[in-house]
Amino acid sequence: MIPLVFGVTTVTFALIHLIPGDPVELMMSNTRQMTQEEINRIRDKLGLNDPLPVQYVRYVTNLLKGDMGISIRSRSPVRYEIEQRMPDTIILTLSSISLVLVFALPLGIVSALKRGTWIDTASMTFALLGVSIPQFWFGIMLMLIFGLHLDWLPTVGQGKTPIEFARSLVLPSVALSLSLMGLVTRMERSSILEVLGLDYVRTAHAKGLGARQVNYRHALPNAMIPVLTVISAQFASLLGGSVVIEKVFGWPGIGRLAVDAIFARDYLVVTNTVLVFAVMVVLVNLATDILYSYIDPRIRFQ
Amino acid sequence: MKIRSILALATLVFVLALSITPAAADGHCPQEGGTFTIGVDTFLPMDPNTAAHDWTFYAITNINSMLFRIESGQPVGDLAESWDITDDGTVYTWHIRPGMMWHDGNDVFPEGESREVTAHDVVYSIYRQYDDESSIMAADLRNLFVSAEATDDHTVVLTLSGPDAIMYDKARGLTFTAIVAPEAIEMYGDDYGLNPLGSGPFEFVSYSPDEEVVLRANEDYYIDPCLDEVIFRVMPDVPAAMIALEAGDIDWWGSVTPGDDVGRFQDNEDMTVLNFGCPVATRLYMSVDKPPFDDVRFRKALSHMKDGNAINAALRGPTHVKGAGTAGPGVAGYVEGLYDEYHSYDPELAMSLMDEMGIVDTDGDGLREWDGSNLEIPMFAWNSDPAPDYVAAMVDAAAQVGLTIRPEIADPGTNNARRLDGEWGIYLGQGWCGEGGTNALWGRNGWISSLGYEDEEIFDLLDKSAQNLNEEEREAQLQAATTRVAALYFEPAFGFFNIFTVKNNYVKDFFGGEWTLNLATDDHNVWINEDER
Repeated sequence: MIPLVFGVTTVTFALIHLIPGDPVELMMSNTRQMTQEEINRIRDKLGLNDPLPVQYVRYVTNLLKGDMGISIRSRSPVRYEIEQRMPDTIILTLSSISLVLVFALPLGIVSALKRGTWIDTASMTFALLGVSIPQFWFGIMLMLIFGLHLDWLPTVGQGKTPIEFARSLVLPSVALSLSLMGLVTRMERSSILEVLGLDYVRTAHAKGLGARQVNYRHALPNAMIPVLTVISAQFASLLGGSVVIEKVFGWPGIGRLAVDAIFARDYLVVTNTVLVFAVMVVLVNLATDILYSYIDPRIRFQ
Repeated sequence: MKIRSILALATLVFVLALSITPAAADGHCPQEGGTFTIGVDTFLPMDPNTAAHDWTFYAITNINSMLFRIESGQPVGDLAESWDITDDGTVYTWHIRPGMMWHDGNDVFPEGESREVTAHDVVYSIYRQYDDESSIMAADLRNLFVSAEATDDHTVVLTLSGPDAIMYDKARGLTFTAIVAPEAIEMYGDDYGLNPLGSGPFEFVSYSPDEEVVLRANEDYYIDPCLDEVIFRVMPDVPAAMIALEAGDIDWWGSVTPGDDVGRFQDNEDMTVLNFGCPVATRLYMSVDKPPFDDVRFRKALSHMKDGNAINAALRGPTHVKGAGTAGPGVAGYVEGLYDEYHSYDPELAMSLMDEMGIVDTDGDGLREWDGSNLEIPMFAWNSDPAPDYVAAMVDAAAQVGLTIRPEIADPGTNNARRLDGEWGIYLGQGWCGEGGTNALWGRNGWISSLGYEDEEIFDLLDKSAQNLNEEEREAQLQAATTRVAALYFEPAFGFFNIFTVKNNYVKDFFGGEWTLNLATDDHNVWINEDER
C-alpha cells in the first residue's frame, strides 16, 4: 500500500501540474472582475509561486500527518471535501449495483436457459440498448418522463426523510445502472451458456440430476466467476466514474469533485481524490478475491 | 414579424407587471412561510474573504449584513442606516443601525445569548479583508484605504487617500465586504466559510458541498422575511436544471440561462425571464505587441472582415444585444454607435487594408502571405458552447478574405495559460461588464496586459474616472476610455448578450440577483404564492 500511495501521489501531482492553467486565474478572473495584480497577490499568498519540488514536499509532509491540504477553489480542507461526498458516492454506487444484481443477473440466467425464445430476444435487446444508450441522455429522459410529465419522482437533489431520500435515489440509480445492467445480462448469459456445454454438466445430467439442480447448483456458481469480475471492476469504476449522472441529477459525488477540480486546476483536490480512488480500487479487488473463494472453493486452495 | 415581436414584448411586460404586485415593503406578507429553492450551477464555502463565485455571494448577502446593498443600481442602507461623505470623497461616516443582532441558536451564540452588532464588528470585518492579502478586496479600494475606526458603538469612520468612485460598483468596491462576527471567526478560523454566521435576513442552517445550502428566516432581523426557508440547490447540468425549473423542483434558476431556453421560457406563461442587468461582451483579443497585430491596419482588417453582429445574433439568440465596448446599453461608459463606427462588416475594406500592408496572395493559391509564407493565425478559445461556433464563424469569415485561421480549442485553464504566456494569436474573450469590468480589463495591470494592451492614455482616463465623484464627468471619462480602446485596438467585437435568469411566477416580489441577492429589504420582501405553485 505504501508504494502505491507514494506512486499515485507523485505521478498525479506531476501530471496535474503539467497541464497548463492557473487555478487562481480560473477561479477569480471572470466572475469577480479582478486585475492581474490582484490575482498575482493571491497566488503568492497560496504558495503557488513556490518551486514545484517545494510544493510537493510540503504536500507529502502534510499528508503523512493526515493533512490533505486546502482546496484552492473552495479554501476548505480537502479531507472535508472528500468526506462530505464519499457517503453519497457509495450510496449511489451500491444502489446501482443492487439494481444490477436484482434485475440483470436473473435476466441473464433466464435468457441463457430460454435460449432462442422471445424471452432471450427481448432480454438481449434490452442488454444491447443498455450498453448503447448514453447515460446523460437516458438520465435526462428519465427526468422528463418521471419528473416533469408524470411528476412521480423528484428531478434533483436528495430528500431529507428516508422515504424522500429513497425517492430521490431512484432516477440516478436507474440511469447509472443501465449500461452495467446491459453488460452483466450479456455476460451472464454467455457465461452460463459456456458452462452448460462443459463435460461436468453433461455428467450431472447423465447421473440423473434434475435440470433445476444442474443449472442452479452446478452450472451457475461457475458461471458467476467472470460476472463477478466484471461487477467488481465496474463497482470500482462507478465509485469514481459516475460523473455524468452526478452532474445531471445534482448528486454530490467524489467523481464530480475530481473532474471539477481538474478543470479548476485545484491541485491538491485532484491528487488526493486520485489517491482515494486508487485505495478504493485496491480494496474492492481484495474483496472480490475473497468472494471468489466463497463461490469456488478451489480458488481458496490455489 | 415586427408585430409578433411587439406582442411578445407586451406579454412579457404584462407578466412582469403581474409578478411585481403586491409588494410587502411594510413588513406585511401576502402569504407567509414557504421555501424558496434557488438553482445554481456552482456553490462554494461562504467566507466573504475568499468566496470567488457570484452565486455563493447570493447566500452570503442574505446571511451577512452589508453596510449597504445595491438595489436598482443604487446603494440602499442595510447595516448602515445612513452615511455621510465629505466633499472631497475621502471620509465616509457610517451610522450603524441600532438593535441589529447576530444570529443565535448556534455554537457561537446559543439561543437568546446573541449580542448587538456594533461599529467595532464592522471595523473588524473591514480589517479582516484588508489584512488578508489573499482576500478578494478590490485593488482600487485596497490601494486607497487609509483606516477604519469605530468612534462609538454605532459609528464607523472610513478614511481613504482619495475618492473612490466605484465604491458602490456592484462587482467591486465595498459591495462584497460582508460583516462577520469576530467570535465566529475565532471559533471556526479557516472553516468559517463552512459555518457562516451573520446578522442578515436569513440564518445559515446547513451546507452540503455540491448539493445544497439551507437558510432559515432570521426572526430578529429588522424586517420580517416572508419566506421561512431558502435553499440553494447546486445543479451543474444546465439542461437538467431547466427541466427541474419547469417541474417546480427549483423556483428560480439563478445562473446563466442558455439563449435557446430564454426564448422558450419567454413563451411560457408560468415563467418570468429576468434580466441580470449588465450585458456581457464577446470580442477578440490579440497579441497587439507582436506583428502583424501591432499594425492598427491589421487589427482594423480583422474587425471589419467578419459580420460580428450577425454572428452574435445567430449564436446568442434572444439574448443578443448589438453594440461594442465593455459597457453595454444602460451601463456607465456605454458608447452608442461604437459598433457601426469601428466594427461594421466591410470585407472589401479589410482586404484593402491587408493589401496596403503587403499581406497579399502572391502565389495564386487564394491565401494571403506575410513574411514569405501563408499567414496562418491561431485562434484560441475555450471548449464549451458557444465558443467553438464563434471560432468556426471566424474561420469562415477569414477564408472569405484569404486569411487562414487555425482553431486552437482547449479547456479554459489551458486557454488562460496561453494568454498569460502571451502566445501569438487571437483570443476569443467573453465576460466583463460595467464600470468594474472596464477597469479590470483595460486598466493598469489589466486582465489582458500580457498581450500588450498597455496604453497610458487609457490608464489615465480610467484612473481619473475611478476617483471622480462627479457622475457626468466620470461618464465622459469612461466613454472616452471606451472610445480610445475601440480606436486604438479595434478589438473585434461581436456584440453583447444579456444574462437572463428564469423564475416560476408563483415567486412574488422578486427581481433576480445582480452579483448579490436581496430577498428581504425595505423595498422588497420575496414571498411564495402557494396557491399558484
